[in-house]
Amino acid sequence: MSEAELRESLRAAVVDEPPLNFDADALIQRAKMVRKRRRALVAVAVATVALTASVLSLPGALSSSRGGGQVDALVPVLTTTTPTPVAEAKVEDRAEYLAAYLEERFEQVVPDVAEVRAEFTDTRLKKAAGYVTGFVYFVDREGSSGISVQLSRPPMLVTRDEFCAGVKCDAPRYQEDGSYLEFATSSVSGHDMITYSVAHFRADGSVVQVSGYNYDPAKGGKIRDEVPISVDQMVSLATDPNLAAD
Amino acid sequence: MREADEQAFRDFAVRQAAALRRTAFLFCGDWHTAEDLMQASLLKLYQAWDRVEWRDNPTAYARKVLLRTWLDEKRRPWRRVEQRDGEVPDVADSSADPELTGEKLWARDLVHAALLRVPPRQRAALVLRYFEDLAVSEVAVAMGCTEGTVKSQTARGLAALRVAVEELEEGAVVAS
Repeated sequence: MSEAELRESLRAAVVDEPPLNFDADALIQRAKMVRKRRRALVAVAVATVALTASVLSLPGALSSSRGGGQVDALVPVLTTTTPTPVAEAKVEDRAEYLAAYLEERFEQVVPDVAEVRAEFTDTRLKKAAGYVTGFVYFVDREGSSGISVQLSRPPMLVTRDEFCAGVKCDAPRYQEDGSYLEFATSSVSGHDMITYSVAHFRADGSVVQVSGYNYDPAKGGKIRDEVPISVDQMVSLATDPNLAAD
Repeated sequence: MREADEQAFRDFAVRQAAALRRTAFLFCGDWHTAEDLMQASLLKLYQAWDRVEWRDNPTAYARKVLLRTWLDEKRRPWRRVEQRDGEVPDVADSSADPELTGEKLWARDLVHAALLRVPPRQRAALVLRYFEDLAVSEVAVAMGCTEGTVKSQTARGLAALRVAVEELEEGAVVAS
């Protein structure tokens, strides 16, 4: 069989093609639904990982603090304060404000990005001891990626020891206002996926964590050589006083 | 996704759906599966539409996604046990050319049946080279391999196709 005969046969094989009823709008609706489900899954996964890390590292936090047994002023995690239920309207307003603010702020701190979009979820509606977590989606020269932002306050507070448990932590940075910055790198064993996190342990007891990824945590895709935003940019976001749970 | 991007994707999908389904049919040999593969590929393409690097040539990316989707589908256990006999689907042949002789129809079905006996990656190389009429370099992009691999896969695919055609012809003679 010659190449010409093969060409002819392949063309002939699709001659009796059945009619195509293709609805592009229906396909786009399905694609949007898939995207929405995937994002919800990512949000749940991030919250689960954060909660698991907190629970697993709690014994370490109770036994001793870092630095030769000295008591860390920021450690008092367990509080006897009764959690007060947060009003629904207030929480929703706060989540909307944070999303709008973070979109604007992110573009200022990280130039040369496009399609910036932020979402915040406030689980305090369901339980008083909830987290406020946010995610910023963006596209840069290498493609799409995102950062996650977690705002914590007592009683669900992440301590410095918990933050550094099971990950590689760099030297903490003491701030003039009495707060600390911690820097952690975590990776998945056997994979090239890296998460770089900066946490600001504020003097008022609240914590703001910002995490960047060398991949797109929402869609997966290719793994980059580096996390798309720099440490200084993450520090700028983590120390922003307007990013707070309340 | 911005409205303009969504409209661009919509236009692209409408324009390419039929062509993608035809290629998928030659990959899998079944119009229903071909339609599923086309839809699945366009869904994946929608998710990746905002990636800058593919905006210049979405057709090449769509072809690549289609091939990956089909190869992934073939690896699934419930597909592995499925037997394909390469039968022509039972549909109304409204667009059949009346001038085609019975001999030509037989030859066409024989080649298509033989194509389904060729290993998947070799089959993909044959379809992309001789049906899509792509250059070796373009096939290499779609298959995610080197041009040398495309050439060797095509040569092996042609040899396997010729063997399959001969076997089917012998079987047909014995049966008659």
